[in-house]
Parts: sequence; C-alpha cells; structure tokens
Amino acid sequence: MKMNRRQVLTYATAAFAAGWGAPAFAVTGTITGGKIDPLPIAVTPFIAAAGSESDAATISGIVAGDLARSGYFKPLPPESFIEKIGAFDQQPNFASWTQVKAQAVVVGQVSGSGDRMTVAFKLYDVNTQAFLAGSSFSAPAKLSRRLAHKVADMIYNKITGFAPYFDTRVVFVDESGPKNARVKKLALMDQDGFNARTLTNGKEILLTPRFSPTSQEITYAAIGTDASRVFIYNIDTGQKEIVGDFPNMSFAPRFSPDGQKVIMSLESDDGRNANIFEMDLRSKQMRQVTDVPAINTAPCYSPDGSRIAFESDRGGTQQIYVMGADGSNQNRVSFGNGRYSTPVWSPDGKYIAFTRQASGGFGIGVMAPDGSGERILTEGFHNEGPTWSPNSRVIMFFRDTQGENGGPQLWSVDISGYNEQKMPTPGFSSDPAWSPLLK
Amino acid sequence: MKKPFAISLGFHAAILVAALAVLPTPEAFKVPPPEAIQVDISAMISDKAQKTAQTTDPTPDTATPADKQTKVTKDVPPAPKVDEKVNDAAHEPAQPPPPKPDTKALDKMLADDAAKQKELQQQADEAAAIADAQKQAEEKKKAEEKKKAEELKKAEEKKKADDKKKLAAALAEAQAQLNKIAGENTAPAKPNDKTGAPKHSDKNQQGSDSADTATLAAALLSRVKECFTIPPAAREGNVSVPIHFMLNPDGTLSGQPEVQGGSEDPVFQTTARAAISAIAECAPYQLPADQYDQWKDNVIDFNPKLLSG
Repeated sequence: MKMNRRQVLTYATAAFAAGWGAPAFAVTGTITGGKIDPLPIAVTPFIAAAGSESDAATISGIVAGDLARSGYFKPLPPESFIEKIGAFDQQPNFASWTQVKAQAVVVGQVSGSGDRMTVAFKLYDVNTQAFLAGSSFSAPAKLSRRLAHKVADMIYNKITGFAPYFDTRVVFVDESGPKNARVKKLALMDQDGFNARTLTNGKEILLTPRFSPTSQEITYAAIGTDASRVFIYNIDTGQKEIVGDFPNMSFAPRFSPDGQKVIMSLESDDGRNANIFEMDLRSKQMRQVTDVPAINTAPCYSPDGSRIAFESDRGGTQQIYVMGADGSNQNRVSFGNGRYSTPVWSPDGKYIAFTRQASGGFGIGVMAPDGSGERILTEGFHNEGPTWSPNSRVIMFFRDTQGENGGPQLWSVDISGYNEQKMPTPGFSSDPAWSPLLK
Repeated sequence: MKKPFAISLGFHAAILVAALAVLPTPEAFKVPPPEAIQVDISAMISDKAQKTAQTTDPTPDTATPADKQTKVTKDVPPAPKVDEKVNDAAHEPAQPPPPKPDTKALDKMLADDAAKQKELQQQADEAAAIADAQKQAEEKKKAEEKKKAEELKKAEEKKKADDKKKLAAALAEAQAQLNKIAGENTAPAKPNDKTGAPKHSDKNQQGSDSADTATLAAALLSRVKECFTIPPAAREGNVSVPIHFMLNPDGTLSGQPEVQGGSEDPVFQTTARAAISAIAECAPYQLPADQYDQWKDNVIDFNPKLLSG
C-alpha cells in the first residue's frame, strides 16, 4: 500500500504518541536572548506601470528611508541585489536574497491613471519564504509620499510589533530672522521632514501649537500687542478662532483626548499666579481645575481623560504634578535633581515625557505617571518641548544652540534613548507637536 | 495541489470584485486645500504563500503543512555532504535512517574538549596551588609584626583578587570555547565520553540519555539563539512563544515550525514570526546523527528578556 503524506503523518503521529507517551519532545528549552541589530531588509525597486517610472523609484526610496530612520531596520543598498524583480506577482528567488543577507524582502508596484496613484506591496520573510503582509493603497497622485508612508507603516508594524507612525505630520514653529527679532510662523511638515510649509504669516508670536486628536485642528497660544490668546486653527480650511476672550493672558493650551475641550492656563488678575482652566468648545463653559497661589501651567490629559499632568512652582521650584481630571489629589511626581516642566502624557498612557533643567543644561526624559523609572533620553545646552509619536515610541523635541548664529532645530529620539535624528527642516524650528496617525 | 490553487483563485477573484466595488467611490478623496485626504485601502493583497505564515494549526495531519514541508526543506541550504562524508568515514554498518556523523571530526572535537578540560584542570590546579601558597603566607604573616602584617594583608588581597580574576577569565574563556563547540559543531561536550557511547557516571540520573539530551539541547538552543533577532516590541514586554519544530536526520527542517498555542497580541505574533524565521535560518543543524531521536522533535520557548539575554 502506498501511503500519501497525510497518512504517513497520521501514522507517525500515532506511533509517536504511543511510543513516547507524555514527555513528547526530545529537546525542550527556553531562549531568552538574541540579536537586537536592525533587521536587514531589501526594499526592491518598485515596479512601474507605464508613465510611473520616476514615481516608483521615489516611492521605494521613501519606504526604505522611513524604515531606516526608525532605527529598527537596515535597508540594504539596491546595487547589492542579485535578483531583479520584474513583475509584481513574481515570487522572489529566496536563495538570492539569503545570499545578500536580507531577512525580509519588499516587492512593490506603482501604477496610476489620471491623477490617481496606486501603490501595492508584498512583504516576505526570507528564511521561511513566508508571505508576511501585503496591501494596496490609492490616493490622488500629489499624496504619493503618504502612500509610501502607508506601505512603510505596514512593514514596520509587521516586523517590530509596534503600532505604525510614519503616515503622520508634525506642526511646529518656524523661526526666521535675527535672534533678537525672530519671526515665528505656524508650520506643518510630514513626519520625515518633507512637505514643510508655513500656515500663518508671522505677525503674531506663536507658542505651543498642539494637535487635536481629530488631527485637522491645532490649538496654540499667540502673543499679540496687548495679550496672549489661545486659538484653534483648522489646517484644512486655514481658518482660526479665538478660544474664549479672557481679560488676562492665556497660554499652554492642549486638547482633551476627546477633542471636545481645551485645557489651558490663565493668569491671575495681578499677574503673579496662573491656574488651570478648561473650556468646553461647544458650550463655551469654563471650568477652573486648580486654585493654588502659584504658577500652575502646561496641563496635559492622560489618554483616558481621567488625570491631568501639569507643572507648578508651588513648592518653590518648577515640578511636575498629577491630579484627577476634577482637580482632586494634586500630587508632585518629579523628585529628581533640578526643575521639571512640559509634562506630556504618552498616547499609550505608560509614560510622561518632560523637560528637566539641571546643572546648567536641559534634558528630555520620560518617567512613569507616578514619577518612578525616570530616564533622561538626551541632555545638553538646551533641549525642550517633547512631543510623542502616536505609537509612543519616538519623542520629537527642539534643541537650541548657543551663539549669535545658533537657533532651535527639531530632533527625534527613540524612547530607549537611542537613534537621535535631526529633522531636515529648512530653517530654525521649535515647539513640535506630532499628529495622530492619518486616516 | 488543486485545493490550494482553488482557494488562491477564489481569493484573487474576491479581490478583483472588491476592487471593482471599492475603487470608484469618489467622495473618499475630497481634496480640501492642504490635503487631509484619506488614503484608500482598496484591496488587501493576498498570497497563497500567506498560508505559510499562518502556523496556528497545530495538527500535523493536514495537507497544507505537508506542502509547506517540502517547500521549506527544498530551498534550505542542503547538507548532503555531511551524509557522504559520514558514510565514508564510518566503518560501522550503515544504520538505517539516521546517517552517522563524521566520527573523525567528532573524535577530534572530543579530543579538543578533553584537552580543553585538561587545560581547565591545570588552571584550577594552579589556582589551588596559589590558594595554598596564600594560606601559607597567611600563617607566616600571623607570626610577623603587626605593622608588616597589615602591609602584607593588603598585598595579599590584591594578589588574591588578581588571581581570582585570572582564574575567572580562564574559566570563562574555556567555557566560551566549549559553548562555541557545542553551538557550532554540536559535539556532545563530554570530555570523558571519548567513544561516544553513553557512559553515565551519575547513576541518579533518570533517563539514561538525559545528560546527552541536556548537552544537545544546549547546543541546539545556542545555535538558534544566534539567528534570533528579538523583535523591538518584545524587548520590553514579557512574551513567551513556544515553537514546535521537527528535524530530519540530516539536520534540515522537517515541515514548518509551528507556534504552540496562539494569541492575537501583536507582540506575540511578531515574536512568533521572528522565532520561526530564526529556526529556519539556522538550519541545517549539525547534530550527532546517532542521537537523532534526541533532537528530531523539539519545542523551544522564545521568551526574550533583554536584560538577562
């Protein structure tokens, strides 16, 4: 009798079970370690449909660039590739990719009709020859970079296990002019520094822009001739509106997690103190959250909306406090050396990022919401204003340099403290705020 | 082979239909001035190979895993040379399925092991002698003046520390070499076992092969570890992913490694992917063929803990 494979397997399994009984496996063991090197990945030149040749090259370059900048991938140089992928449905010759030491291979295709572009990709594991992920995205051709970011996001998610963040944007304050008379404009760029453009004309001095969780609106403070006001600016329409008309200075606004409220800080009548208030954007009702004779500012909600982190000098120096959303249980959480400011809750709720001023320098760090596990990620002459990527893995901040020609620039760092990267903004820039993942 | 083809065909047809239905919807791409445009996921790309990536089904008696088997083993760098060599080198009658390993090589490795062990022993002896000398010095010292004793003590402590360091370094090096041998050539790192025949001095051990099994396990684990890239998300969390895999007598993979149990947790998923990839990358495994039954069917729990790794 000739047995087919299924039968053989069944018999083998039965014999195995009968012969060995309970301890079924010869070798059992645990592996607790391994490599942490960036994963060598081959992003093959995307295949172009007629008329999309230059786009195809750009798209695969953006995908490789995103992956490389994350610090978790090492895209291999295309000139080292042995196999040339000629068709999207062509199964890679895995032996040739093993030879160039790629662990993963990306095959892609770019096509277009009219002003629409479609990008499709497939991701393979070289060792197991398994198809890991694949998808196709389409959008107006002018959003081609976003299509590439979508592809990179899926690859990143599949390999690292982290939520994606490449298809995002960052608002920041674009700074130009001499050091003592800087023109500050609201600006927007893609997460990788491309497509940077200014949104306002620079007639007001802009501070602390913050993205709404709905991603189309930004709230910021602006210092005018007589007062500082909080605005909401719609990226899509270019319209802005004042959040309330308060007699005193209002600053450090930030959206609540549901996007329905703006929490901010208002100066007292005598200008000596500031307390935290919240405005409901629909009803325009104001609610006072803190009432302590000190400077209480920079409020930031926890992602579940139950707590608020803020900075206060009530104890003599600037420190970070956490309280209930109703203002209850105001407890100091920062106890390291120096002054702590600009608390920003991570989107996953696990950390609070902050700026710490100690021994003459400014550092960016993270700590648990109860203040434990403090870790400084970067330190120097002046680092400030952390903002989180939506997947809570990367922090962007600005770093100022000394001297007449010095000025602030945007940087990013992994929350492990590794992989510092300078953002390629055209001029000086400060106060970055990361958007949620675009839809 | 018809069934997978039909499934694949079905998938592609479904995608085409879905694409027809989804693509023409125009209002998803309203373009207000500075683009808040939504990217449209028009179709998830499928692939018949995708099934290969899904290894949740633990039963080995289905048709698809069988397909996978041939697929995986086929392109894995083959190790037939080992077989040939073995047959030439081994003078014993060829044992049916498991080919014998290169016994010369094995013997050499074992001899190396023995030499290393000897070296180790020498180092240990030296250390003991040093320790003795120190003891004597101590006794002598006692008799001496207090002032001098203090000086001596200091010097002695320093020496002791140095010696300890030296000994530790020597031990570590020897151990590393043993590990290397175990990892690369997977010779049973048992210096006394020159014939290769099981000779268990420890009678308390339950299974007669448990010592060998432990050595084999260590060899296999250290080899797989060399190929395992810990996924970033698994570097902080505590994830445990047991992978079951079987090996052919020539050390190649028999079938696709399979995840035991399952979870939708992305950290689990990505760790499982990396683990299976590592097991495939490190194949073929060069393990002693005469002990094939001790490494043909294995489970490794991937439980990355970066700090202890």
